[in-house]
Amino acid sequence: MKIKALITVTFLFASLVANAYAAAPSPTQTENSQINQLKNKIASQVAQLKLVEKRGIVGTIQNVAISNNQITLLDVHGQVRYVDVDDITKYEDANGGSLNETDMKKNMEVSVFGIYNKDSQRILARFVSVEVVPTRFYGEITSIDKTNYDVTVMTDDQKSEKVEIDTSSTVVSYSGGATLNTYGFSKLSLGDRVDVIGYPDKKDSSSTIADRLIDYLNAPKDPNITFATPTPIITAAPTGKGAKSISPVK
Amino acid sequence: MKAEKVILSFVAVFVGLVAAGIAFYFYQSTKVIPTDQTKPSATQVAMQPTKAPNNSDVFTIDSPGDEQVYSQKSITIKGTAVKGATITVSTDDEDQVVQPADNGDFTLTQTIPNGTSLIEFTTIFPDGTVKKIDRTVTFSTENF
Repeated sequence: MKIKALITVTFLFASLVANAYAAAPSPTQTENSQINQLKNKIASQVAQLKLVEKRGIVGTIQNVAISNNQITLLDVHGQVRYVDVDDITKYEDANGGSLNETDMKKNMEVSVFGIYNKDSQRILARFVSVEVVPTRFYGEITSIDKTNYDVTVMTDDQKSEKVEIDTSSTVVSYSGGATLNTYGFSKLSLGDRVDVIGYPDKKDSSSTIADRLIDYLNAPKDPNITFATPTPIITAAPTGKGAKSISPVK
Repeated sequence: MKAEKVILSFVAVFVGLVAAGIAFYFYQSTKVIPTDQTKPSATQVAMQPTKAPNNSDVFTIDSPGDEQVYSQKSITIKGTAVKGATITVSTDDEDQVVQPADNGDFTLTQTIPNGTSLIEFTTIFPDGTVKKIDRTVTFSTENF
């Protein structure tokens, strides 16, 4: 008796649930298919929009695989980047002249501008340009050669860099606020904190020709640069004592 | 009869618990505890005090993002540094210097060169140390 009642109640509930589903109009199989297709298209477009974007990178060429249409770069953050090239990729030298893929060689510094895929983390290059990236370093002046117009700068990793100041170099000073003031080579002092932006000297590979030099006049001393500012040697001015007297010629 | 069954059930459960307890005791006694305590346990690691953040070398660039592409030459640079720091912004052909406000924020406008180039941000902290951040930016109006 009890079992019969239980079965009856179960069937009653089941029929109620079935009725509730039946109340909603169900789409036909064709409509379902169309809805799914539309959903997929929208999802695909949204994914595409989010997945790729324009990007530009700068790096040094590590490898050029012409057969694979691929260039491998080491970017400025030290990360390996894979660049895909195709028939419409344009190549330029540092002066804007036209190049082609075979002109790309290892250790060249280049910029790549193209379409970056966030998923594959590869960039499809539209423009590859050879770059002359300026050398930048920061440190303290440890010696000044007023004859040859050069200074030696010690960086915070204890490297000594020789910097030539020529007529094209711009020397400025900073002493506060938001302005840089015109400065001169003759005003540079030992121990001054400087920022140098320049290019390697083609005649002397150990030297950098300064394009710009900023002298931070009131900057505190960098604790990572161990350089003792030499005290100036005071030499006694020569006196006339003991020297032969010069008498004017009549 | 029913009371007997109930009592027997309780006795059986009690006996079972005692047997399980004895088995568990023997199982635990067979475990070997390593004498080398040099490696910190998870509990010890969790109890180590966390270092207080060092705010003396705060230097971040919020804008521009790295490898960002602009269709206008003039861009806004925004960032944060410790008060009293000196920030130098260097592109391929010009430099600007800025000092952060009391809350550490700084903003300036910078003209970027054509194509892809680097912007270097150098800050001199009040204690004399230096920190650098590089950003690659591109000015282009190309459509592809």
